[in-house]
Amino acid sequence: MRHLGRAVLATLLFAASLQNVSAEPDQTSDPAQDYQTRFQMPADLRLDVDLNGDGYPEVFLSNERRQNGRAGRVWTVYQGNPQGWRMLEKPATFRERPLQIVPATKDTPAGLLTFWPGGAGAGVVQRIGLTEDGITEETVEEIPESAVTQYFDSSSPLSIAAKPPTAFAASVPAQPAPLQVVENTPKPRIKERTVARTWIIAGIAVLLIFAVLYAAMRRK
Amino acid sequence: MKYFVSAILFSLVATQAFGQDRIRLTTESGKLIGNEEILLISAKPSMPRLKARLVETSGAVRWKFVSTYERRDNEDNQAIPRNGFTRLPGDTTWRIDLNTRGFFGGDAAIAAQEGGEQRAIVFKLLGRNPADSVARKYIQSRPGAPWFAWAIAQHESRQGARVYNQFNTTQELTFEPNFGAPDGWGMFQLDSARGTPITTEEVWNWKTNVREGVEELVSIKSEARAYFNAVRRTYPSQWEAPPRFYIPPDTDTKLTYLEAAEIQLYNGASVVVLLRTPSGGSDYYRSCWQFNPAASSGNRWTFVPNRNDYVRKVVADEIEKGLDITSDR
Repeated sequence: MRHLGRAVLATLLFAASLQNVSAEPDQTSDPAQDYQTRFQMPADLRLDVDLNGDGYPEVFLSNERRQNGRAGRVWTVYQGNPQGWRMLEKPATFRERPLQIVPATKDTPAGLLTFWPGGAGAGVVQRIGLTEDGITEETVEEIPESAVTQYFDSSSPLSIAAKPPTAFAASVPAQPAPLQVVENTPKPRIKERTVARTWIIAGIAVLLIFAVLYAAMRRK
Repeated sequence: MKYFVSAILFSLVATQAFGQDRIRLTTESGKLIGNEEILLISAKPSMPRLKARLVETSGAVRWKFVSTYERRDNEDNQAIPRNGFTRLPGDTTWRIDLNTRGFFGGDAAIAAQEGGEQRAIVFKLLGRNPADSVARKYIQSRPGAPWFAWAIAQHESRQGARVYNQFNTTQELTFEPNFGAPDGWGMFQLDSARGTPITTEEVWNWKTNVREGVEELVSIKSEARAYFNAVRRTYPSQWEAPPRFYIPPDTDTKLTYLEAAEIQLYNGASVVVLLRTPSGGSDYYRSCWQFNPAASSGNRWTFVPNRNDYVRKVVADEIEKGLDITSDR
C-alpha cells in the first residue's frame, strides 16, 4: 500500500510538471490584469497595435504616474503571440499626443510616430517599432515645434483603459475593449489547444493511477 | 459652464463693439485705451487696473468684463463679475482690478448696458517679459534651485536670440504666451506630459511658471539619485560607482554624474529600466546612465544622450555660449 501511495504521488507530480513546462516567464493571457498586479496600479491608457506584423497585436499599457519628462509616458509593452502576450523587459516612451500609426509596407514594418520636444522651439520625430530584439526607437528627423500640427494627424489611436482608476478592478472588465488598429486580421489565439492539452494530461494521469491500482491489487 | 457662458457673452460683446467712443476706458494711471488696443501684464508681473466710465449718461449702467483665449481651448476664460452684471449709477466710474482673479489674458471686452442698448470696447490682454537678468536672478533665488536651472529655462524658452520668454518675441503672435507644441508653455515650457494639466497662472504669470519649473527640478533631483540606489540594489555584487564627472562632447563644462542626469530628466531620460524597489518588487527607474553588469570593472557605466541631445545642447548653447544678461526689454 505504501508503494501505491508513492506511485499515485509520483503520477500527480508528473502530470503537474507537464503543465508547468508550457508556462513561459512573463507570459499572460490578460495584460491589463498583469500590469495591475505587477505595478500595483491600473493602466489608464491602452494601445493595441500589431507592430511586427505577425497577426498578434501588441498591447501598450500606461498609468498617468509613469512620466518621462517632455518625452511623454513610459509604456509597458506586451508582445502578442499565439498563447497570449509576453511582457517585454524594455518599455517604450512616447507622448499620447501627437501619436500616429504608420502602417506596414512591403519593405518596412509598422511603427508608431511621435514627437519629443527638445526646447528652443524644436524637437524630434521618433519612430517606435518592434523587432526580434524588442522595442526599437529611432529618430526620423528634427522639426520645429511650429510644424508639429501639420506633421501629425490630430486624432490619437489610444483608448482609455480604465476610468476612474480606483474602480478598475471592481467595475471594468479585465480587458476593456480597445480601439483596434491592427492592419492584419488578428489570428485566433490557440486557447482550444491549451484546453485539449490539459484534458490529455488529466486523462494520462487517471489512466496511470488506474494502472498502478490494478497492478497493486493483482500483486495482493 | 462658466467658460461656456463667458465665451458666448464675449462673442455677443465683440460683435456689438459699436459705440465704444462713449466708453472711456483708462488704466489706473490715466492712459486711455482705445478699441482693439493691446494691454500688457507688466514685467513685474502685475495685472492692469482699469477704470471704465460711460460718458453722456444719466441712467443706471450695467457693466461686464469678459476675456477668452482660444489657444488654450478657452481654459483661461474669465468674467467679472462671474455672473450677471455690476450695476452702477450713470456717471460712476467702474474700477476693475484684474489682480483679484490672478493672472489671465486673451481677447478681452468691456461691455456697458444702458437701457436697451449695449456698448462695448474690445482689446487684447497679453504679457510683457521680465528683463533677462531679473528672470535669471529670480530662478536662482528659488529654494533648492540647482545652479543650472537658469540654463534650462533659457534653453526651453529660447526664440532665436531672445531668451526667458514667457511671452512671444516673435513677429507673429507677439506678446502672446510662449507655446511650444505639443503642450509646452512659458519660460520653463511646462508641459502636461509631466502628468498635471497646465494652469492659467502658469501660462500668464512668469513667476508661477518659474516656481513650478524649479519645483520639478527639485523633484527630479531625488529621482536621479534613486536610479543609482536601485541599480545598486539590483546588482549588489556587480555594483561600482558611476564616473564622478561628465563633460559633454565639444564642451569644457564638467558636470557631476547626478547633474548630467538631472538636466536630461527634465527633457526625458534615454535610459528607462526595470529595477528592484526597496520593498523587493520591481519598478521603472530613469536616467541618462546605462549600467552593464556584464562589462569589465571600470567600464560598466555609459552616458547615453537622449534623442534631443539635451544635455550637450543645454551646456553648449546656454551655459557656454553665455548671454548678455544686462540686456533689457
